[in-house]
Amino acid sequence: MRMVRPKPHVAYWICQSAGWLAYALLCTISAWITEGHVAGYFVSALVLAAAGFLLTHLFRWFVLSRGWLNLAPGSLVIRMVAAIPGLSLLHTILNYVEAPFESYLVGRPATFDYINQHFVYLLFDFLYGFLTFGFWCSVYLGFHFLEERRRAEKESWRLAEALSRARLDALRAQVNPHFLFNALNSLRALIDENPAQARDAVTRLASILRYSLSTDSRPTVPFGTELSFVMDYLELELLRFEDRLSVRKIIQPETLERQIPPMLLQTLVENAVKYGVSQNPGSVELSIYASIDPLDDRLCIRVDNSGHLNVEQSRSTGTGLRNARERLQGLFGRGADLQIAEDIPGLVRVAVFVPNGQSLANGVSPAS
Amino acid sequence: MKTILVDDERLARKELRRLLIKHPQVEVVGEAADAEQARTLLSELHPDLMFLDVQMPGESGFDFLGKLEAFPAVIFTTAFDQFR
Repeated sequence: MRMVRPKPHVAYWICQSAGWLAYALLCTISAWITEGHVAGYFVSALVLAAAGFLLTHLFRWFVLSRGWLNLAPGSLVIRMVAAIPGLSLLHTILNYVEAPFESYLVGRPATFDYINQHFVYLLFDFLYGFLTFGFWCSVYLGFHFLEERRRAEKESWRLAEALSRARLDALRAQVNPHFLFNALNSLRALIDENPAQARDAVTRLASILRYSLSTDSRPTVPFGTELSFVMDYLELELLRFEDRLSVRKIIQPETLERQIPPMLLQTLVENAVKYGVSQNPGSVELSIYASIDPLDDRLCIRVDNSGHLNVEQSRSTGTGLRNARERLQGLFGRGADLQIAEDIPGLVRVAVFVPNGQSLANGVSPAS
Repeated sequence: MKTILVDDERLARKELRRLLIKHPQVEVVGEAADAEQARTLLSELHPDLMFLDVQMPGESGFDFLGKLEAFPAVIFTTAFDQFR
């Protein structure tokens, strides 16, 4: 978390110095036009400018220490505006105290009596103070809001970047821990019942984990590699669901060398199992089809499961599948697509289309 | 104590049965793979205790219990940490 309060920085000192110097010059010029004593008025104006410098610097310290800059913009502006008369009054008092010095410099009777007779000048000073400090506050607030906005913008970029990175990490999902947990539970019961099958299951579990570890750094893998991983996964799910799940696959041999993002087919199959088998009593058939579209040479993967596309499925798969679609299109461009539908009642179908050729990611070589 | 096991996974029921061998006071008299079978067992066997899986296809353990007028002591079994 960055500090909300801006540190006293160079811009402030430059503006503060230049601003009050300009103030001194303006006072001198106006006095020069009306009175004619340049040197004397300039020295006096410098003293008053220094007073203003100090006053606003103390005010800034007050604003910072009270944490006004953390307030909502509306209440910050109200407070700053309310402070203007106070600052003007203080500056007028300083002006009054300094007046004998100025009178001495320009050769007027330097007594308070004389000055009191010209009380109206002090009133003018007070009103001029509104302009001076109003200007100061506007510049200060302007800078503050500008910086605030830049910071907010930077923050939102940072957030968006973190979000997309997190989303990518989630997509490059490792093996679902729930699956692992369930598989191990089934396996425990299987050890007594069928040791040979249990050993086989442990081997599948090991190759699933090896695949998950090795795909971590690769943007794409051959479809055939992913498919054999998914079949291992399904064999383990079959241990658990037994005759409630049956798996069918029809795969064109040409599809096996095509590149797809790792865990893409896995996401589709896991969704089909999760919603098809876990939510419908009775037996569920899961089918995997893969072919090459002769028209546009895209790889077409379809995963069907018997069941219905209910609201919950379209919502939660919505996110998972939308992420998968975004990732696909990030890697392969707009030619890639992913659709979910229940065109035939009782059959939920997810279809993925992956264009042929190199993915858009740089340095992608067909993984072996 | 007459006990029934309700779980959609055969291996899970088997494992539970194995674990219950250590408790001779628990006598497993029946197994059900879904809510429908469980209802039949309840009316036929009148068990004192029921091990019930929360996450079952179709009718969940909670839905099933909600529809019962009278039920034995229930121990929920689940692999899902969200119900813990």
